[in-house]
Amino acid sequence: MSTLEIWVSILGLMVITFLTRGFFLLMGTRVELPDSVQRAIRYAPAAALVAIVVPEIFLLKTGSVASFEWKNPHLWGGLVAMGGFLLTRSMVLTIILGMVGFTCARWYF
Amino acid sequence: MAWSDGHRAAAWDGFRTMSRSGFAIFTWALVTGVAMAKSGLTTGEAVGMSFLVYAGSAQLAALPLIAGNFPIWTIWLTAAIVNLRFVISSAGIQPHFKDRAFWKRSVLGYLNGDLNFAFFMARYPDPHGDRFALPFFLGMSLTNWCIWQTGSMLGIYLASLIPEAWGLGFAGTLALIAILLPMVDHGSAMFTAIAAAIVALLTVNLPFKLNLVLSVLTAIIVGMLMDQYNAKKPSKKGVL
Repeated sequence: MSTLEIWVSILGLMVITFLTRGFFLLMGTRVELPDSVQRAIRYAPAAALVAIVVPEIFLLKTGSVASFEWKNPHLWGGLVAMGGFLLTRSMVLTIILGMVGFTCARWYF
Repeated sequence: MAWSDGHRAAAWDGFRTMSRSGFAIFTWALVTGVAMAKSGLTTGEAVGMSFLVYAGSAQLAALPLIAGNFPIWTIWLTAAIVNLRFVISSAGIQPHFKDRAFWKRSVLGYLNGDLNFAFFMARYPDPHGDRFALPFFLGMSLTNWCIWQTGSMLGIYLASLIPEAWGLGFAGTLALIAILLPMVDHGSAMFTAIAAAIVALLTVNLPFKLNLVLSVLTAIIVGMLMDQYNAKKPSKKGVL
């Protein structure tokens, strides 16, 4: 990306974050989201993060399901991090363990 | 409006409440700072992103898309979806502050994050016009902001000292794992996440990060079906 594109992205992200964080504070009571919509969009943020994280971990950078490969350090780093989080519930340990798993896998393969 | 001793006490209370999570906030910010600087942003761009955007998970989600040269609108769409949870949380705090001036509500919105929302709703579950709600919220939010920006700046600086070969950009993805798992490790959320993961992998070849949109739609449909199923079988609720 060019410098200009990156700054346009950042400024757009700023506007989007401002509007979403404050949505109902800014709108007051003029807009009402039905309960069904509020329930439905509860599932969206986690799914978006899944769609970012899972291909980053499971696939090589070529971006194809066919690029799955056991000798992928991101895969091992990610799996160790997941196990680490489920055991420790600590963000710090998750990141440290994940980086250790990732680095060991890079040396090993 | 001059603040009374009660207002000041509530603001300090907010500061103490948020400080208890200070280490976690600081680490997350540090990793986000490192990840920004190690995924192709210049120092200036990383600093700008930290202060202007101020949304950790949206920033971390945007980084691989920026690095992968995806169209700008896919980056914005992704951030908007990741931020949808704030739309819901803003509905939770809105009744407490609905009588405040527009600019005050704008500032409160900018400061509305995951942690201060959770702590705020725990302290003030019912909106009955408590006048100490605002200083408590501000005390928490400004503490959060200061810790976050300190960690983020330190991360950007440290990243310049760490060799590229360490692969520290990956720490951003790992931080997202730690944010994501508590959102999906229970009940119907787990099934929606598994469905989203399968769809994201199978459709990863589609252009414009369309796999993200399909994953989100799948999760919403699966989630609504699960809700219906759980509503019909109340005895099973919470067992899954």
